[in-house]
Amino acid sequence: MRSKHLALLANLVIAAPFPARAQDSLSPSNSGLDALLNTKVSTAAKYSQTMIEAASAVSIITSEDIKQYGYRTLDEALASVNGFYLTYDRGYTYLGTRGFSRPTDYNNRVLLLVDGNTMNEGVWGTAPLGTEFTVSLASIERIEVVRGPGSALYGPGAMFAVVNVITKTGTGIDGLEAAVQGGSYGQRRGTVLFGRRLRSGTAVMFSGLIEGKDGQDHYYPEFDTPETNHGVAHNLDWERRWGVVGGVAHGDLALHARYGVRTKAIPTGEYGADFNVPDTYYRDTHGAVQLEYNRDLAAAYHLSARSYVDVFQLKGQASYGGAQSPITAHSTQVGAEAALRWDFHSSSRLTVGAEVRESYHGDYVSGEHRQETLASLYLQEEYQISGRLTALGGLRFDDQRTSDNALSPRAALIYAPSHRTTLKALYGEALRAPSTLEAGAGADNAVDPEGVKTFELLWQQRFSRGYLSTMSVYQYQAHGLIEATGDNLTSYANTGEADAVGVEMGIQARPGQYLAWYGGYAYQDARADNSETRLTNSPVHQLKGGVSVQTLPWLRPAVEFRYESPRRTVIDTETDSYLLTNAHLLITPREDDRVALSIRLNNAFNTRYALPGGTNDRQAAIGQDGRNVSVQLRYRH
Amino acid sequence: MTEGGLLSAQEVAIPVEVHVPLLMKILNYDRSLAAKVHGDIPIGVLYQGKYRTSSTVADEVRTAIAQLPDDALSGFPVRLIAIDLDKTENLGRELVSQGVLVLYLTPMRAVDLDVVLRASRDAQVLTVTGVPEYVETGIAIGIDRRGERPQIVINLTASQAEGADLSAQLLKLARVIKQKGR
Repeated sequence: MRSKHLALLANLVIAAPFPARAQDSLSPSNSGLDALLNTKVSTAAKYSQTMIEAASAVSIITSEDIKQYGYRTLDEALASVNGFYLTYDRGYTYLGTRGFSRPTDYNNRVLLLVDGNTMNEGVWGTAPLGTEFTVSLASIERIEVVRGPGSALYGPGAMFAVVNVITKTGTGIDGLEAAVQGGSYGQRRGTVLFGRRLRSGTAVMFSGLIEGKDGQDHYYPEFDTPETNHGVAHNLDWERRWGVVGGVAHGDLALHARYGVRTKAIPTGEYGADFNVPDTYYRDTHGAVQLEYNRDLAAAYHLSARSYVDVFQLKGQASYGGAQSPITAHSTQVGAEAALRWDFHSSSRLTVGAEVRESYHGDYVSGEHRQETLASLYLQEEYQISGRLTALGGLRFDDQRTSDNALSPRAALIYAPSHRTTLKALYGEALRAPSTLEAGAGADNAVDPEGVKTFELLWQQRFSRGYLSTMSVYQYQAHGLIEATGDNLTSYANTGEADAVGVEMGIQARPGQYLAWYGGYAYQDARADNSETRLTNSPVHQLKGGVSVQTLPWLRPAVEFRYESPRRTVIDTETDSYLLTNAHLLITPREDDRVALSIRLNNAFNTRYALPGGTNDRQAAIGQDGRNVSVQLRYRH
Repeated sequence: MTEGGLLSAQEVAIPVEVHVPLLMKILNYDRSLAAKVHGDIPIGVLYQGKYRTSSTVADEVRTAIAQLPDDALSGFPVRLIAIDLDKTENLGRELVSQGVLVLYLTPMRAVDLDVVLRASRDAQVLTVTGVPEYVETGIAIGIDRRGERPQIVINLTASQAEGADLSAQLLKLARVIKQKGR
């Protein structure tokens, strides 16, 4: 009996080859829905809690989701989140959430973090969400998505969502992994991932990514003249990118660093550039170093602190009237943040924090170099009123030298009448200060921060083992929106208001280790204030879903679909609705999963669809990729 | 490395439904346990009723243990005793009066570990947990995560102070932490 126990124990804990299929993996999806619901998220409150406890609408994309659905880029993963939708203009990928995605807003109303460090650059506030995000998905442990305003904790910029990419630890990786990938449009990619906990207790990790793609020729009828190659942009869809991420952790200290470069040719002739001119491109460089300290000081006190340096550079060129024009911008942000968490009773947790940040940036449009100082204070109290009722309140004060001071409050009530049911009432306000470009190009520099107020009711219900349904009803009002005005796209003003109501319904099913599926429907009615006109680039209906099944011990196919209703363009036309289907095959011929073959087919039925262009494009809508495939071979040692 | 300190709400590294059966298997390798048994094995689950995470994990532990076979632990049935630390004036007295042999610690907030350790060692109760950080501060046995596998973590000094006699075979499988004893 004892030897049988020992054998079972040994099989479970040692890393020797043995039937290591889904049932032996501890990844959340393979341990059922319970494991997913118990996955800790830190983005919603700046400390660990489950997604059920969090006073926000939280979604988690796990490393197993990434593996099973074969996501290759961050935007492919984010597309699975209910209420999220994407726009791609052949240069950058933009995220829409709850009906809000203003053309050419550079994703500056969504906050993107990597291990808690902001990736939005300091010139336009851009969050790199597509291939411009150069962190390898193989190094990602999970992606935490908090929908709704996040300024009460994160300050300006977190208006509609906070996306926090959490990388794997050295201890969690515990090995070496390499992958090569090839695919349509001349894609070739290589990635490497290494992590280990050393005997000293220090954990180290490293990941690298390098990729090239030749792209396609694109036809744009707006440029169909003999002088502009009859509308064909030739050899202007190529892309090159590489990125590295590293981390060292020992005791209370952790050091993270990342650096990446993405160069993309631009075929669309945006911003009035000459069409089909070779070497029209943008090169984005993002880098960051962050040092973190976390320590339990005493019985009820926890101190967390971090200091960081973030750098960004944009270089590129385009031709205007036959003359090549360089494009440059840069920003450097240096800052520090500290927070003290005080559990003065098991039912009460108070967090008090402060952040200081200096930003130095310049851009080619204004020709100015500016310095900005941000000083912030925030506090948050979570109080468990009873065994079933929890209240949370938070407030952040931001003092920006070049903008009005701002207060961002939030409040929440969480009621759990049973272990299976959770009801949340959420209120939050968030703001975004004008970017360097917007502040410098406003009339008499009179561009004020824009803001949003959101109210949401959320119901999460577990029924049967392995099934979780979520339903959310929300309403938000955005005021003082900063938008480009007139023919000169570098003029900005607080042009108006928008409000929206919406419903999101979703279900996640993980009844066992062999099957996982999800479905979601979002209705979003977003309009310009006091108007019956829907916002541009805002689909009213979204339907999405996916299923992943372990059909054989070595084979796991998955299918996802996305449906969207039409979107209004900036010239008041509409794109067509579309249904997109993606498929993935994961083949693991060895029982220990050391080798894996991943085949992903995007747009399996070759659906022709287009998404709205921005105010910088002559095209009202820009055609998206047809059917394409990528094949990845991964080896783990 | 020093013992004691505080218990701040850390994370359960491995899902409860996975680590609790594993802990039960591990306890079979405490050679002193069988000698202390009188009919069944009382396992105390220490939690904080006013901290939702703690009480939720306690419920999950209760469910996981209820699903174990009757002879899962050295051939004896297991009897679960829930102990709400927020309502317990004297933990040591509670452990003795309930005859607890093993004490499972859920994630807890703002708890002085010295209080728990003093009680467990006076009562010779073996402490186990799903929060690996607690093992480094004085709890005897825990479950961590290494890659995609669970990892047994044993504080040898703590286990000996609590009267456990863990087999060498078990120690070979585990990451062993040695501390200066209290």
